[in-house]
Amino acid sequence: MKKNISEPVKKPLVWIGFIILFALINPWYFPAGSWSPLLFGIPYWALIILVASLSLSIFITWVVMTQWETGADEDEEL
Amino acid sequence: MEVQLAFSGWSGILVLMLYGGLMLAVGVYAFLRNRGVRESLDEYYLGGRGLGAMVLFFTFFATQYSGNTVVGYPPTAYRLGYQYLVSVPFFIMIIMVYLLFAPRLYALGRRFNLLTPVDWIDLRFRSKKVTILAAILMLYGLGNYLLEQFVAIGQGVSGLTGGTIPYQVGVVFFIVIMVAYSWLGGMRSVAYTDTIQGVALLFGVFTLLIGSLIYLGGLPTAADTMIAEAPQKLGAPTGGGLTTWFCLLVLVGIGAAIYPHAFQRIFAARSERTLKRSFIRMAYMPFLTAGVVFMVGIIGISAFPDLTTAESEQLVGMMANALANQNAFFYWAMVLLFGGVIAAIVSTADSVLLTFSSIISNDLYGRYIAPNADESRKILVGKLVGVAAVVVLVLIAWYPPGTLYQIFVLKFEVLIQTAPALILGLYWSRLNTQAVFVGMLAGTVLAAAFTFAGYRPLGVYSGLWGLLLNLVVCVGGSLMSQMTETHRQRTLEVIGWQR
Repeated sequence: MKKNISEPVKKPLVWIGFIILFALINPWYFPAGSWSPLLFGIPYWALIILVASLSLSIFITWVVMTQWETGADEDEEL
Repeated sequence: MEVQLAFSGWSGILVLMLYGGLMLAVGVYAFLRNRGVRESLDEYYLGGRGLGAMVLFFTFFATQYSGNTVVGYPPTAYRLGYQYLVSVPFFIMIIMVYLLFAPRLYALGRRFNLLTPVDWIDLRFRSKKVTILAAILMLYGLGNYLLEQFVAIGQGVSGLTGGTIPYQVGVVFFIVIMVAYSWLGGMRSVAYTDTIQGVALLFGVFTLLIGSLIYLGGLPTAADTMIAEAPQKLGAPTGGGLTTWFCLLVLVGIGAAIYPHAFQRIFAARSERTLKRSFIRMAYMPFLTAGVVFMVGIIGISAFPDLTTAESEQLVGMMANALANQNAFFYWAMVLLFGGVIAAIVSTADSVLLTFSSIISNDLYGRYIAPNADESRKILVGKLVGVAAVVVLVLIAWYPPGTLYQIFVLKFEVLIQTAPALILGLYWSRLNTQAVFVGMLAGTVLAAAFTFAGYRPLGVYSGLWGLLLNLVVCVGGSLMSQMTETHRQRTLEVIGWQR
């Protein structure tokens, strides 16, 4: 039986995305100790980290929805 | 993490009793709905592999976020400021790590009817010594994890009730309830109660945040305080702060994803679709939980300035006290919050206990001692050994041994040593059984030795040093060894399924 199988771990695009986003959720690219400007009392770099984190969540959503298909459910129905 | 709430004595007891009653009712419900639950390992330990997306999501959620997230994280945010914002992305990392192994693991779980993480190791390596070593490491790590939860339950209960309920009574009450509902409905009970516990926790942290914003000042006020007194709490991390940030992302990401009780939950999903949906929801939860408790800790900086480290540990209790004094709504909301904290600890403990029993039932008793016993007997043995372990752990919690106490601290350091076998084994057919065994053992010994000696080279945690050695042995040993044709065929039958 031929099945259309797709695993995130075998997709170069998934790895590239994870590596880039992992780099972005580490705050190495800000001037050390800087915090100005503040937005709603939150330092700018913290907001950028939060945006990067949200991007990771969105990327995970995309990976789960489009890159993961093992056909395990169909096995079940057979 | 002892938090004394002077405001709640009897109201705290009332909430705890109601909570205990509700959990028992859930256990009875799960039992009545599924009479066959004690006849089949699949039914008892995996809820018949039928957990839907919502319940599966909450059981992942409640297992991952413990009472410590609520009581322990705000004090850390208070002390470190924005440097502790890492607590939001590190919870997202867990889902990222899951995606690297869960798809294949779920499919294999379905195909080979896997029940526990040890079951997978046995299928993959077919080696008695690897299976037994992995089972022992997991039981040991889970036991210590359970011990930590018991201590936390006792402290939480006596804190919530202002000492009206002594520590010991609190522990026994909740353990009896927990064991009762787990025995009644197995995984279904645990997952349903996780759902209630998860909702209680979410309600609690949100009211705490809203109350803090209304009565204790918002983030701009906190920022003003930090600018004036401790600008380093606002600033982007430097040197050591960056290393810590990086280590936490890696450690929590890998560690939390391969905790045996988290790993096992993958097998309980009703379908691949429900598993996917649960993961997508989990990817956003860090903002609503870790993010919220982080803000609470930051608000604390201006609301309760200049606390010492020991005092800051009581931060959530102080804030809850301040809010409870405002009006009746917040009084009851704060009582519920602490009910939610205890609920969160219990929901972590029940999952750990169930996984502990499943390894006894399926992997030690069922595989080696009495392979021909029927499943209800295997379940019974798992339950009884589980309870015996609980009794021993409670005694240890009450009478901590003076000299050997450190052996009860090792959890993560030991559990993570099973990662190469669990994850590398999924993808790499050459991975050699002997190398896995030696690697696992060497990694454990090194991690334990570094921990006992308090030795932490380069500031990196002992568990990671053990894992590094473990990986070097696994990979090096496998590359140097020759794989026989029968071995290759057999391995490909298991993990070459997609070809």
